[in-house]
Amino acid sequence: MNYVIQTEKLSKNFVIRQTFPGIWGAIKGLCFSKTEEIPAIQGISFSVKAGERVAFIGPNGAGKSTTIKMLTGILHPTSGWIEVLGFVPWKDRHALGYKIGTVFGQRTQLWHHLPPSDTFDLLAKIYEIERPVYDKRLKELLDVFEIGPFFHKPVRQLSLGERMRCELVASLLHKPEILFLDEPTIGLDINAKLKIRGLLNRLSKEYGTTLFLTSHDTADIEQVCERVIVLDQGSIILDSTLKELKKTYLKKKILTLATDAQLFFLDLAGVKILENTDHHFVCEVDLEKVSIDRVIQETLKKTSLKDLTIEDPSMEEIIRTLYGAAHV
Amino acid sequence: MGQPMSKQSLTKYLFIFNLAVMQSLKNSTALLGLSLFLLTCLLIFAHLWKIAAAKMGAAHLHPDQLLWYIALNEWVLISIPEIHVAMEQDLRSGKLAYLLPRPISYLKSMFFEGLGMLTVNLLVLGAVAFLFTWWRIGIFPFESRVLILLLALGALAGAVGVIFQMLVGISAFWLQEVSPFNWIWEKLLFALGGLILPLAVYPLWIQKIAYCTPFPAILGERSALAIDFSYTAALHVALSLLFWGLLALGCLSLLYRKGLKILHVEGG
Repeated sequence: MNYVIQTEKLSKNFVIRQTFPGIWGAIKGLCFSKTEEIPAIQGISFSVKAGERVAFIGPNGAGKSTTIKMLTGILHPTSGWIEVLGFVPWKDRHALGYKIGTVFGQRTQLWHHLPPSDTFDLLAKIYEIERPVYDKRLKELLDVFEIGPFFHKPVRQLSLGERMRCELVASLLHKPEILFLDEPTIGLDINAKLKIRGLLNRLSKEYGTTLFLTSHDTADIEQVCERVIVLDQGSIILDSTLKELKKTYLKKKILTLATDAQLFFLDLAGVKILENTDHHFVCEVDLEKVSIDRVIQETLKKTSLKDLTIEDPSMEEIIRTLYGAAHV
Repeated sequence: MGQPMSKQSLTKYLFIFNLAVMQSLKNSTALLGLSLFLLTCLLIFAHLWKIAAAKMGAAHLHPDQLLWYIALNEWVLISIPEIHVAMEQDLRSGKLAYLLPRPISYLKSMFFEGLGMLTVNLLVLGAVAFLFTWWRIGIFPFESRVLILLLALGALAGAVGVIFQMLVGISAFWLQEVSPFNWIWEKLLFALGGLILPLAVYPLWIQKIAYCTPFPAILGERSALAIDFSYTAALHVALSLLFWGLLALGCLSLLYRKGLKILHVEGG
């Protein structure tokens, strides 16, 4: 199997200096210090195949960024083993740098007063890309990411969405085999988010780039990734394909009915009414307690239907259930 | 700052230098602000020294000479970019950690970025300072060879200033706030560097202390060449600047390596 990322029993502890409360505590802190070791990552193991699109998610403080920092060689693990594209990241960070790309939603690598074209030229130098290769690659990326119209505009004049597209191009110029994305759509409007997600999918299909993405936006996960690794309190609580995840956790459906009757009521175990207004009825059906067939049959006994839709609960709901289950 | 650079590495950093030059040129508002500030300083000191000379009698320093002295001091002082602010932000915001995977040294790239900004400032502010002082005094007292030397020493002093600014910036690895550290550096530079008064008029014991620091070479000792030029004195300034520059580079490299160790263990 062609794995590009492999980790085994990876752990990272941080040593935190404790502070004492109050004014005397502050004075005491000047003379005495007490440290505490906090485990941030606790023996996680996972592998990622070439070309996979993996969502690495978890609540705040779960250890996502710490893991990404270890995978990119920024942080040294306390124990365990990592191999990324055949390199040990914290030992071969320089060599690994040529083969990976990073996009961090809240940090920019573009020069503020200059057009993106200048930063791209600089990155071509940094990654030692030969001119003809760079020209060809840049042309391809300009077409894919549609940044031609603002290619020569100073970065400070770009919208957040345009800037993010430029950040992606900047991270892809050297043809990285793995792209690490940390909250790539944070702060973007809905159109810009859709565009970025579409581009990431295109990138993965056309170039076979492995995507390793963290995001709090479940739509990023749903629309870009095929596999989800869920981290909580430094441990992996789930590692599955998106399909499997949905199959396992989709125990509920959302039923929306347009009824002939102005108002009607349904009193069935497993049915939770979410909305009941004029000719409009929305409920959540717990499939473990009652079937959709039964709910529709009971409805038809009371009113005829003009329209009916059955939806899965949102990904957000599933993730919330997952995080909740981990803390029970 | 680590190992010697290969030709390919040098190309990367020279490109950063170029971008910093372009970025500074595009930021014309900042350049205009700095120029106006420099002109204000020079106007104030020109008046101040005229009044002081009239009252006390210019025993061994003529106000015109002093204006050249101050112009050469302020030119370099205001040209040194506040690169410590960018470094502090990079360290404090954790951006440094995200820049590390790129195959380029952060420290060298910041140095060349600082040099690029310094170059633009030196050229623009140099033109402002020299033209103003020339216009104010009416004569240009330098031979072309001396002028070239003064400009070169000014550029070298600016480069040493950039390294010291980086030392201030890198202290963000350990300090909560680097601005108090920068404040101390600036005040020592003003006082021991002889910003508004040549060191020759300071009490002897202060002169002795001052000459044990890099400050006179960056400001007063260098600018005093405008009053009393000699090739020996110019060589002394150049050697002092090289000595302090190399020493500061060594300290910077050492501190950066120590800081990176913290980053590798504790994160960004």
